[in-house]
Amino acid sequence: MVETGQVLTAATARPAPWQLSAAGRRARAATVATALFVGPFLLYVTAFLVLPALRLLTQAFSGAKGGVTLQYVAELAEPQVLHAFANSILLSAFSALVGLIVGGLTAYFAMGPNAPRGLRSFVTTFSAVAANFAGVPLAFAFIATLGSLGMITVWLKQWGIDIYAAGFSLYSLSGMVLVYAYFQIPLMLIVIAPALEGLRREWREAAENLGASAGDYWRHVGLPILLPSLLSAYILLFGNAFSAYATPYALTSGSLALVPIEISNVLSGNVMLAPQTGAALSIGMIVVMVVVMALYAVIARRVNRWGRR
Amino acid sequence: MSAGRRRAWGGGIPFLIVVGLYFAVPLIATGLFSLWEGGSRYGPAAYIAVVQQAPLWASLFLSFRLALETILVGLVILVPAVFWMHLRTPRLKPVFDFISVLPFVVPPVVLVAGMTALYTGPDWLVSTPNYLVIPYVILALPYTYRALDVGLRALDVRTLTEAAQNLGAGWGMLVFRVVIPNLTTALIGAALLTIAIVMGEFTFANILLFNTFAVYINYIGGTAATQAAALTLLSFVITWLAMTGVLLTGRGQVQIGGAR
Amino acid sequence: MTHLRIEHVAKQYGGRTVLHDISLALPRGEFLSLLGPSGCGKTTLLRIVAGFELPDAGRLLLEERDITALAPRQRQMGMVFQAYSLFPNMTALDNVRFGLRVRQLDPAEQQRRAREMLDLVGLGDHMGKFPHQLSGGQQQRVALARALAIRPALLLLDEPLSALDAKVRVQLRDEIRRIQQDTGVTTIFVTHDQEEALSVSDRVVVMNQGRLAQVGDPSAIYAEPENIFVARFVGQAAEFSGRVLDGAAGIVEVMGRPVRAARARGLPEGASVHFLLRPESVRVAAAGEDASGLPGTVRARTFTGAHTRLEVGVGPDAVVLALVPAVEAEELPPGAAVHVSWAEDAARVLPAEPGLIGAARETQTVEPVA
Repeated sequence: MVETGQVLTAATARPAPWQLSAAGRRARAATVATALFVGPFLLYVTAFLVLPALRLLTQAFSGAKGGVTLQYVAELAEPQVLHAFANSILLSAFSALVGLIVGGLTAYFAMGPNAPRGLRSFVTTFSAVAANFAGVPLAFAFIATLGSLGMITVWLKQWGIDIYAAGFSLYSLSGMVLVYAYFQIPLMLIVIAPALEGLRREWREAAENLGASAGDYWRHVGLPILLPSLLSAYILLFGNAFSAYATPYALTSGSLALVPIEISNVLSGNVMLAPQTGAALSIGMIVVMVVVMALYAVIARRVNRWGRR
Repeated sequence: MSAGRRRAWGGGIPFLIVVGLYFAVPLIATGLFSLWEGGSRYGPAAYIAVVQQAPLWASLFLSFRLALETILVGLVILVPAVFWMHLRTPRLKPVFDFISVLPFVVPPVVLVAGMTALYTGPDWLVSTPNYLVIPYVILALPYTYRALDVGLRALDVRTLTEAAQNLGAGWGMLVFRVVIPNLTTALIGAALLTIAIVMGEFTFANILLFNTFAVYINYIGGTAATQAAALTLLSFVITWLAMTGVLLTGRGQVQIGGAR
Repeated sequence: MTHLRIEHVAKQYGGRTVLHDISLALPRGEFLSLLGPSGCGKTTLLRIVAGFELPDAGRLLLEERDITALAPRQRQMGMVFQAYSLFPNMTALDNVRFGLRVRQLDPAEQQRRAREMLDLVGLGDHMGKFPHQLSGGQQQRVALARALAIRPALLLLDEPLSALDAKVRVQLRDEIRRIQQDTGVTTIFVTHDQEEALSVSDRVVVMNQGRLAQVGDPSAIYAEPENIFVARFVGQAAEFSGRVLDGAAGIVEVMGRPVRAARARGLPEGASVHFLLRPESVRVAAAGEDASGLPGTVRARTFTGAHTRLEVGVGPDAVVLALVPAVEAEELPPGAAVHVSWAEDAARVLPAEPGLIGAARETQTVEPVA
């Protein structure tokens, strides 16, 4: 076999498959096997994730009668589109902040090393549930609580306090922040718990031993060490809120201007806008999410730097 | 003198109470509202009405069926891929990790826009609810992948394979008698998470006009609010059961689903 | 003057007594080791001295001042933990400076003292490195410098070498001792490694199950164990049960034969005793020479470099370990009939009274000359 291969190599540029050595055949078989096992997965993701996204990309730049145009992308600068983006960004930024602070403090008190075990496991389970409770059920739960006929609203009216007359509305941006907090806080708890556990007891004790008060410890040791984790958690919370669709939809039935809502309005034909506009909006959303995930990845990698040993 | 000086954990109790109230009150309000029968009467009328509605059961079963189909398709696609990656081509891990976060970059509402723009047929698929399984697999991908990845890593597939082959096992025996039985915990965790995601999924179903559980709740909310409240609580209980299952099987690994 | 006084300290954890009635007095500048197996209470005692645990009973007096209830940060003690105690977000220099920063020393003075400490531990060139860039041994040196920078009244070391490689361990322990002698700081060193404790300490406290088994200088601990626990824990020994045959002449019956043991003198006739032989004091010779020891057969011979270890069987289950020069051992292959003997006062004899194992000493105060 080998001799034949050598003879023929002199005459031809490449050996044909049947002339490969045993190692060569093995390698080719391995590639085939890899294609068999991994192929379907890659094909699936390409077909149903990558290609649709690319289609949106081309659609955003396609004219109504074919050809390339920047018209629809330019529409992203229209006031109502900008308004939707502004709303989405504000809502995401504030709800992420609430999640960061309230969630961070809750994690410290309920999941720190000194907290009772029962409380910790309860909080962990509840966080998992609450983070998944988002969407239609959450919206209804809040309507039942703080809607114009909600339990708390009515109860406060009995005390003479009319929150809706005072300007509050569950369907406004601030109302939405209140609702979003219900899944942002648990998400924060889930994400920050491992980082808190990474704060070694020895650091606290060493600091105390050297004369530091609790404030000294947090200022010089605790918070600096936690900072990358806090940042990456914030970014994750931001992305989580930005892409939310079900909760705002169920709450406002599509009347509040948010980017996901606008996209679905285009899709369902609720507005007289061309599908290319929806595509442009989608691309805009993807861009925001790419930036979010990239930042998250970069910061998360830095966290590992100190975690070694 | 007291035993031991650990920093006394009394800190933050008032704060925790406030936070606890914030989370409990909406649930209580929903519960009370679901038991309201008009005026000042309270009773289980809403629950009874809900249970008697055929469309509810239809939507519930539909969602559940879709969840099972999603699990099946997802695992059929993912298990061989992740298994092979761990066993033979670990260099592909960064690629897999990257792919597993792609669904976050393309939010559900964007994905449905893309899919409707790209695929308009075949009609026998696109017009049935089974069409939803396709994007649902993508939605569940990050969590399913992670569960399998962690499970396989803990298993150290390479050593197991070498040991099994050294003892004379063939591929079939290896996969079905060694690998999969040890992956059961990871598989169950992935399945439960998928169920939670699919049961709560609203975006795709709503835009594509299919009558899944979450869509039904939204629809009922417009006509019979107390029944919607009852369903909301039901949804909460289902999620709680699923998550408890995930936590028990996942050794404490907790993740978030996709319904927002 | 007694620098630190520990008086009748006791501690319980959920029903289990971790420390019974412990009392110790340390003179200024002493290097004291707390030695014992896991769970004997040595770390708990150290943490009580540091202030991380409160004792259930007893007092701590530093220079005759009661510090029992004082918070850790007010005690002016420097502690080195077993591992992971350096702040990962600070360089070595900033770590060492931390205690000075908290005391709000003048920044230039902070810098100067921190560098001085790092030079003292030999890491002047590594000031700017972060902990994850340093080896285990280097990290512990930084931790030592950090503890010393605040000029502590007491230096506390909680098994600082246990997490390090064997070679680094030996190097570092000698350095710790050298630095301690240079600075003269009173030191408490916790370890489970008896070689460590014996090699660096002024005094060793052997602990067992929350009690003090013995307190003394290293040679006394090694050569004169006061109870069977210390005899077993420190060093190696072949152990036999024996009976005093003649209390005046010092003859003990072991393995059915009368043997000489100077240390048995003064014990009542018929008393049960533990009879102990350290390997280095055992002499092995071919059978047939004098009859004052024990006959036996060589079971195993292991060449370990400078010496050869011989396992000599002197009874059905009884083995004596002997360390003999390699040259001698050449004549004694496995299976050879031999005779085991020892210098008259080399064998240790301890009364085998029940309850004496790890018995507590009421108070072990060695009042230093003022």
